[in-house]
Amino acid sequence: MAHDPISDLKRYAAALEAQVSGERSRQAARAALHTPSGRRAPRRAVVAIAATVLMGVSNVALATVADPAVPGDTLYGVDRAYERVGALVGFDTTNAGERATEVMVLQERGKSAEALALVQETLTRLIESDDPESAVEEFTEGLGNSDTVKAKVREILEVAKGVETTGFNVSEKAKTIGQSIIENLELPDNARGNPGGPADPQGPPDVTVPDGAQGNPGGPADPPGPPDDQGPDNPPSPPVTPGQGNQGNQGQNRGTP
Amino acid sequence: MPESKRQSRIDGSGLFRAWPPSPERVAAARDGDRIVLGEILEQGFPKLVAFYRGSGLRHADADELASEALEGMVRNIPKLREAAAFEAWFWSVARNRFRSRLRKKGRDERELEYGPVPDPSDLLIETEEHSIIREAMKQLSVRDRQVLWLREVEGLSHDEIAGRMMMATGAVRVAALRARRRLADIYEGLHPDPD
Repeated sequence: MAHDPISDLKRYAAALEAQVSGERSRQAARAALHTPSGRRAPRRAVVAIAATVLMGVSNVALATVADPAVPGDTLYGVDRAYERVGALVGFDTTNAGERATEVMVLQERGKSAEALALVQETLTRLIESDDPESAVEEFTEGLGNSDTVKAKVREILEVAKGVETTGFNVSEKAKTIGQSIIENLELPDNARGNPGGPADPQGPPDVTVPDGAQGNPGGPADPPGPPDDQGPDNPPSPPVTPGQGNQGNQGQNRGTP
Repeated sequence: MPESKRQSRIDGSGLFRAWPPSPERVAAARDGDRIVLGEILEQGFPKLVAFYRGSGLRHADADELASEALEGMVRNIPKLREAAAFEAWFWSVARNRFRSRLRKKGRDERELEYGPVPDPSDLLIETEEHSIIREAMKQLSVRDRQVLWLREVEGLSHDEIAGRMMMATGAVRVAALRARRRLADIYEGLHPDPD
C-alpha cells in the first residue's frame, strides 16, 4: 500500500493536539487573559532592582556620561545596557526618541551605513512594542518629522496594522524602506557631510557641503540609488555597505518626475 | 478545502465549538467579551502547541511559546480589524512569536533542528507512523515545515499563508508543492521496503 505522508502528517498533528489536555488549555487561556501587558514584570523587576543596587551609585555617573553615546562610541554599549535595565523596571521600553537622536547624529557624522542599520533595528523593535503607533510616532518626530520620512515610516506601520507583526516580516520591511528614510532625513545644513563616503571613525568631516550639493566630492560618481517607490510588494534593496549608495541627492524629491 | 479546515466538536460542557471560530464570536472577543475570548484561546492553544512541535520545538518549549502567543493575542486582538481574517491573524501571531523566540536566542530558523527525537512526550503517542513522519519533517527546512503545516494541517489558502510569511502567493504555491514532494521523497526513503 502506498504511503501518504500528508495523511500521516495530519494524524500526527491531531495526536500532538490531543496530547495537550483540556485542563492545560484552559489554564493557558486563563493565564493569558489575566496577564497584564507588562507580563513577568514583577520577576524581572526584582532581578533588575537587585542588579541596579549591586552596580552601585557610582554607575549612575557612568550612565549619565554614556547617555549621549551613539553606535561606534566606546560607551554606546553601556548606554544600551542601562536602557535595558531601565526597561526591566518599567521605564520607557522603546527609547524611540533617543534612537532617533542617535540616527541623526550618525548621519551628521557621515556614518550613513551605521545610521541605516540603526533605523532598521529600531523600526523592527518598535513595531514589536506594545504600542507601536506611539513608539513609531515618537521615532518619526525625533527624525525631524519630515513628510517624506513620515510617509516611509507609515509604510511599515501599514504592514503592522491588523496583525501582530514581529520578527521576519518587519525586519524585511525595515530593510526595504530604511534606506529611503536615511536619504530623506532633514539635517541642519551645516551638519551634512560625507554622506556617500565610507564611515568616518574620526567624527564629522571638515568640509561643510552646501544643501543640495552633497555627494562624494572629488570621488568617483555615485552609483544610482535604489528606487524611491519601494512599496510592500517590492523586493528588499540590496544591503548597503559603507561607501556605497547614493546620498548625493539628499533633500531632493527623489522618484518624483 | 482540506478536511481539517473546519473542525467542530462538542466539549465537556455541551457547547458546540468550531475552529476557526465564527466571525461573530471573533468580533465579540475583539470587542471585549472575555468569556468568548477565553474559549477561543482555549481552543487555539493545542493547535499552537502542535504547530510549534511540528516546527521542531520540544514539547516544553512549544507549550511555553504557545502561552506567550496567547498573551500576545489578548493584547492585540482589539486591533484586529476584520473578524473574518481571524485565522490568518492567529497564525501570523503564532509564526511571529516563533521568529521572535529564535531571534532572542540568537538563532536562525534555518539552523533549527528538532529537539531530541523522540521527545519524551512523544513516547505517549509514539507509533511507527508518527516516528516516520517526524523524522521526515526533521529533514525539511523550518519554512517548508511551516508552509506544509499551515497548508495541509490547518488548511490555510496560499493567499493566507503568503500574507503570514511575507511571500508572494505564487512563491507559497511553489514552496508548498516542493515541500510536499520533498516530504514524499524522504518518506519513501524512510519506509522500510516490504520486499
